[in-house]
Amino acid sequence: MPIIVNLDIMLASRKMRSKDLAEKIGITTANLSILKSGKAKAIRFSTLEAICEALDCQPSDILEFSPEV
Amino acid sequence: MVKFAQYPNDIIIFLFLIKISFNCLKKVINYCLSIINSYIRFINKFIMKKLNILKTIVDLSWIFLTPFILITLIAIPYILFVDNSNYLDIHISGFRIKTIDFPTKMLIVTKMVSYLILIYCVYIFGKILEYFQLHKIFDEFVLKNFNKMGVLLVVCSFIMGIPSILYEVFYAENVTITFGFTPFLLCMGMFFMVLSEIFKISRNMKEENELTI
Repeated sequence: MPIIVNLDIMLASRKMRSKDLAEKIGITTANLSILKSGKAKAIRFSTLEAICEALDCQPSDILEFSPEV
Repeated sequence: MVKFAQYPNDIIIFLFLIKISFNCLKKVINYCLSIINSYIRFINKFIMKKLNILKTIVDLSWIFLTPFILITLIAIPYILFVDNSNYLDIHISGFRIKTIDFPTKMLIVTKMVSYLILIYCVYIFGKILEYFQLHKIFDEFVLKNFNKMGVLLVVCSFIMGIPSILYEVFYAENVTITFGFTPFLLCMGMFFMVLSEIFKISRNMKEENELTI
């Protein structure tokens, strides 16, 4: 998939654990893991909003587009 | 004839009686409907649900059809290899078969094979319903077997239809096209194939829904 989720980098830079983020934004750790691993097929605006709010960042910091070769 | 206009009291009594009778009738109908509704609710809740009823019917038909498999497996070699022209009284497509030669034997055998295929379809359908009971609706097994059922039913309709038409052409010299069993089977087969495709689309949609965070 050409959309890359940079949630790992953001979490590392904020020194936050996945479990804490999941608790903060109100989703399960399993779902957060799906999002981190890039298996997710879609993301709700509400989830994106919650993540941006929790990590104090912009959507572009989390999502990146890289065309497939 | 009684003229009601002359007796206003009678009219009032008459209307009152009609009203009472209507009310009584309404109450009786409501009572009957409530009894029927409670009975249906009882059946749905405690005795059986639709899927269970279907599974029971399919299982029972499978049980009743299993002896036919044995009979057919014994009968096929008997028809093919034993000279039985004097013993059998067979009718195909409404014609009594007088001479049992090799093509006629092949026709009878293909008919029997097609019935075996139909029984196998019943078995597959039972298995699919078992998966439905376990709430594995979009399982790979269900998709594959719906498609398999469809293909088998289409094949079966051709196996049933074409030899009969050929027999009518060569032996009975009278071709009649009837919209009976064979087109119905063909439609059923196509329906199951389409159903398999629909299940595939539904599974993708379910996956997409599950993977939306």
